[in-house]
Amino acid sequence: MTRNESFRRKIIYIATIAVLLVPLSVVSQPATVKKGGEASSGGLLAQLRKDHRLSQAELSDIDPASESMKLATLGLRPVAVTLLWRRIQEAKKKQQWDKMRTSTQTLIALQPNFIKVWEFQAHNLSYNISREFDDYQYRYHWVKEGLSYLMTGIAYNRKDHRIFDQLGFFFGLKLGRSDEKRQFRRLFRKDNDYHEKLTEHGIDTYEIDSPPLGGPDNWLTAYQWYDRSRTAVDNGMQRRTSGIMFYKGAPSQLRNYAVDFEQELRPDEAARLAWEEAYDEWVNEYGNREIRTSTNIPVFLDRLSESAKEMQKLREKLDKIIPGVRAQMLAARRAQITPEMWEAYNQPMDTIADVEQSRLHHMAKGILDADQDIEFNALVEQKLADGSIELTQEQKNQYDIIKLELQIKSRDHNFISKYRGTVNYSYWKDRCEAESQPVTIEARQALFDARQAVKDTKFDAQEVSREKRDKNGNVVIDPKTNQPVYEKVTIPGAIQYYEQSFNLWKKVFEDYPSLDDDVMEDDLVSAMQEYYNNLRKVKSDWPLDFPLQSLVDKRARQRMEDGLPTTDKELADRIERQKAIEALEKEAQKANDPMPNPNGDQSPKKGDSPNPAEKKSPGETPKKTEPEKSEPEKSEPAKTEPKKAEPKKTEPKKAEPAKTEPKKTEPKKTEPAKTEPKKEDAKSVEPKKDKQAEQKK
Amino acid sequence: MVFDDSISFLQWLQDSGPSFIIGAFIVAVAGVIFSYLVSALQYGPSEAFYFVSKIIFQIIPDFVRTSFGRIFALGKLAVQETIRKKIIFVAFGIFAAMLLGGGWFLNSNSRHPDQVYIGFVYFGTQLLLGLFGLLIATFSLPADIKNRTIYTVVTKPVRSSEIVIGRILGFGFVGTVMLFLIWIASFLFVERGLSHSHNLSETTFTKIEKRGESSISGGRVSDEAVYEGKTSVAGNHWHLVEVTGLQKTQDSDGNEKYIGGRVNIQVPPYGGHSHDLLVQSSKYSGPINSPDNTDIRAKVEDGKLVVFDVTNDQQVQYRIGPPTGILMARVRIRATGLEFLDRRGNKKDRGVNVGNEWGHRSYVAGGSSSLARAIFTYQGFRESKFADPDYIQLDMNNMSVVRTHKGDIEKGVSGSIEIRGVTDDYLYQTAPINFEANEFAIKTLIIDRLQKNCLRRELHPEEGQPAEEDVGDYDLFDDIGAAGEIDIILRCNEGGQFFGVAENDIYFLTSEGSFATNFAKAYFGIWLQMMFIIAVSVMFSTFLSGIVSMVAVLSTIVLGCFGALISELREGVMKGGGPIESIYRIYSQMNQMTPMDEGVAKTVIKALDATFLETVQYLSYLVPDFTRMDFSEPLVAGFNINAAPFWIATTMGLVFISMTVVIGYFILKTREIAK
Repeated sequence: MTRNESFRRKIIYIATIAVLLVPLSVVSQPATVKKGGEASSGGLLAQLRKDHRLSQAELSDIDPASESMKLATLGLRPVAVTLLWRRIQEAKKKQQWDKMRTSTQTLIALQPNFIKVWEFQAHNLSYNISREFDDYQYRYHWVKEGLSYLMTGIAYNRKDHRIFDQLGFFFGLKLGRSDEKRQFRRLFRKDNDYHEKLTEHGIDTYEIDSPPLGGPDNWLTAYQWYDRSRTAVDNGMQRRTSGIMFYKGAPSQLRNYAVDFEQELRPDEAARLAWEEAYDEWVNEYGNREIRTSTNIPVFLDRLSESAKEMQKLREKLDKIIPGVRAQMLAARRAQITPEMWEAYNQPMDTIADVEQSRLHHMAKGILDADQDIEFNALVEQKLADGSIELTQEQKNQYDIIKLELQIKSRDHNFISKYRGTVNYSYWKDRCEAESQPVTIEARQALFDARQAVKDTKFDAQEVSREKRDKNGNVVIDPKTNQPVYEKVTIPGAIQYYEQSFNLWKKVFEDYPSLDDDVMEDDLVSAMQEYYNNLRKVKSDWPLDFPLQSLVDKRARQRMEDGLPTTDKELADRIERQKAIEALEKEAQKANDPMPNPNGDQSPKKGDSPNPAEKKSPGETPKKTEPEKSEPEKSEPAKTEPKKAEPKKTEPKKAEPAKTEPKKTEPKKTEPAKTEPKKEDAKSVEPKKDKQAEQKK
Repeated sequence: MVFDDSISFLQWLQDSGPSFIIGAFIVAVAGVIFSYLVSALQYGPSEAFYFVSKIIFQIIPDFVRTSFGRIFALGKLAVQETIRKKIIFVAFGIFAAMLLGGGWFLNSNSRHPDQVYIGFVYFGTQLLLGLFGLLIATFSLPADIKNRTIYTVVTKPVRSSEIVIGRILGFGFVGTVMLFLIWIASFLFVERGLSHSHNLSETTFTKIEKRGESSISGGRVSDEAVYEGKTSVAGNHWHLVEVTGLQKTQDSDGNEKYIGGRVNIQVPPYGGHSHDLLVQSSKYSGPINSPDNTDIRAKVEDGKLVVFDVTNDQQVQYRIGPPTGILMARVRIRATGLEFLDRRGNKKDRGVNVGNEWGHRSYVAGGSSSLARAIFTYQGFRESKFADPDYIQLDMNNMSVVRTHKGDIEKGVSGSIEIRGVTDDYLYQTAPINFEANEFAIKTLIIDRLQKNCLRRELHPEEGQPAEEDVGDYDLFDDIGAAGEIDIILRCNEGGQFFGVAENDIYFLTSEGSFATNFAKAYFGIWLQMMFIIAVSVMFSTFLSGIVSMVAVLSTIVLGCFGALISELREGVMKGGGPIESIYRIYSQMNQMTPMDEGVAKTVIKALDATFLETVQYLSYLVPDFTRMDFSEPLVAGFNINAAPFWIATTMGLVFISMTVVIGYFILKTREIAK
């Protein structure tokens, strides 16, 4: 190689470098701000970063250690990251927990703005590693490790609310719903060092403190994280999850707090207030918040009944323009229902055990509940076409406008209805309201006392002698003997407390029938099972007039194996015997008293329930059986909200013909009021049955 | 702890020696053939034959006539060169910065900070020394050849072997000095970093309201604890302090209340360590729980616990001692065998598989009706080995627990051990010693030398007579373990729960060695690794340029470190296939578990991968297993590094270094450098 060749080659290299610098400058020139505010937007990459808010300063705090590490990999960051992920997996497999923890720390220095890394590894630590330990204290330690890991990630992901959501999720569900939730919650309450750490991350310990429970509560902490996420989004941060699920986070934590509060302490005014707050958050913050659907339509979960009313008004307007068509359409629908279908339809679904009956029930329901508006419009179009009805141009225009409005309303209504179902809105609304009622608090108090009595092995009522006290609480002294006066008092045992609780629960269910839900039932079923076990301990039988027998029977029909006695099986013989005894007693009474009772309330009527379990308990409120109050429009979702306070639910079906119904006296009609509407529908088109019933009478 | 130090040095030599010799012979023959082929291309076949055979016959005389003086001189040159390049200062500066800033990044909340600290310095040292050896040794000889400064050496009467050895020793010397300094700095960093002291002066002891549950931490306290307090925070943690042993009486309402008396105050472990509580009174100074303490008592005044000096009725001052249980070098008798009995009592090599991905531990099913057991065998069980043979310490380290139902979550799963010994005439089996399992921690059982209610059964009864059996007090060493061998029979007491164990998990702690010495032994492993890297770097640099030889050395290290991984890939234990299959899977976004479609593509990919992996696997046999020179695991886990793994690593390192010297000599000899 000659000197000239070498020189020429160097010149070529330099020229190539110089040429390459031009596109490099265009692509990656950094954005700058000169003195005096003159700014350069920089190269293509800088502009893209700015447009998508991807510059490091926008994404997170600048971490010199992280930046140094990224540079130190000399462009081999993906290789280093892959090796670290492998190292973490290996360490996890070989149970080298500290090594794994250290590696996760290194990993996030290389991938600080990749939110999924934070989520995945935090889950790894809080869930997967913590469960490897047998000692719940170690488990708690590792849950905290995951939480700390996530909290570190906040500074690196300032533009992303998902870390807040994850923190809310972990603080709530991991600490509050694990197998060791009692231990976790207890440890968390006492963990002052960790509370300080939370304070460093902006959680106010005053806000999360629960004085009755004795320290900060995990659910209240979870609420704070979700609330921060919600606030961030309200302040303009991009929301990255669906609105319906995103906004549900915060309010759910308050009701979970109330649930656990009642389980750990004897419910009192504080518990009632907790439920009230939960109600406020669920209904006012969540239910009345504008939520965008997947198609960007604004909806309000709590405005279903308003929506239904508006739709009804529009229908009425249509009926005024085109009278008679709707009635004709409904009559045609009813005409399709066979007597067998009516029979099945009139039975509440949860009392149907037979498959064929169930099929018929659903068939009838399908016909009657089918979308009215589509069919109505089709019918009108048909009639307009064949000339059986005629509309002026003005009427036609009105008709078209209202039809369109109705379509829009119906779409929104369906979204609300669907979304409410997704988050079980009505149930939780009713539950929060019901739980904040004094009667529910009393019911829970009695249940708590029952469990406490079981712990103290006081199963049945005991008569004890104790010092008599006056109304001021002073011991009464016998002036003759100058000794305290003793009195005999009966102290209730677990059985009595359980019974008191179930009687109160019956009242609650009557007022809030929508609480008849698996979540609530599971809670009560375990109480009933405890009651049943304790009955056996005191060698007593399951009472035939058990207040929640209908719930037990319903679950048995749904093939849930609760192990509790049901009317159809375990109690059947006893009920028969009871009936026989009652009949004998009545005969004997008749023989002794030949004069008939003028009120006639001693003798059983046809149509009275043969099931003594369905007799009213002493403290029971009368059932609401007024048909006009319990007949919502069947096609309207308002029927799923049978709570008294909602006026929408009590709308009578004024347009329905033939209001006199024979089924009123049927023995089956012993279920809660919510099943009534179906019967009313049936009544209006079943004149035969009506007559038969009359004849029976 | 997963490291395996069960193999003895002689056994290793027996197992590895023949295959190593065969391997070395194959390498030598292959090297000669390769050299011949290269020379043949340069000088022609006959000339090449003459050339290669001349070198072969010169090897032995060259090595025999090696001059230590010349080696020393060449080594000195290497040292001077290293110092001139200032790499040593840069490396040491990096390490100092690492130590100074490292503390900020270490996880101070770890339950095992000692493991984090030691792991950090050990890995840092390994990396730094490895890089140092690599950079200094790979570029030196090629730079000399390129700059022709090598002529100043080769024109002198020095042998090629002396050049190679001189350089290795010179660079090695610098590395050794650096390692020594780093060892001192690391030791101080670890010891000072973990040393801490808590304060108890401001603590008020409060009564434990619910047995077994702390009202301070919300966690567990021992069932015997009646009062509790907490220490001040030091090293990012605090300890609960438990008070036990108070006398109690009944008040007029029949309620129990504590009145004081002799008191035990314990500091339960946190983060793998504990502390002794020391007190000072007018007559006594020392641990409060010592039997010699007759001067300090407790009393309860207004519900508060007061610890006082009986002589002057003054409240005593507490002092919490330094941490115990960390930075240890536990000397132990480990099990030499482990076998299992299934639920029906049948012998098995493995216990139950509970579905863990890592099959290291095998599981024993619990329950009163289950005959499942894990039986550990210990040889060399002699009184002389124990520091205190009256109370021997049995450690259960990292024993795993699997629950199939929640059980009593407030307590650990209960289990028991029995000690069995067989002598010529009798079989001994102690009464069960119950314990509560403590997963991923060390559970210590102190076993009395004199075992009460121990069963003794005659092994060879007279014909026609039943075997004589009696229950009595027997000595662990003189009776039960008289033959120098005993068994530990482990059982899980709770139905539906499982204990998982491996051979290393249960051992007898005989004494505690010096941590500093153990630390030095572990760093000796790093020294061996560094020396091997230097030797290989010098060897490659005799015929490759600096950058290429660096890549070659890195590949050697990868082979040394990932031999097991390559083996797993080749055998299909690790899913996803070899490199080509992996590329295909990444490209086609196919996960590791999905089988590839049958066809030509699969056949070709599998065949290429198999060839590649087979080649790499054979290449990996040519380099030492780096993991054998890595003593970080026993060091981190706090176990004494035994003689066997130490000598195995030393032998392996020295043999491979010698081999590289020979190869380096051979290659340098064949090069024409001013000859």
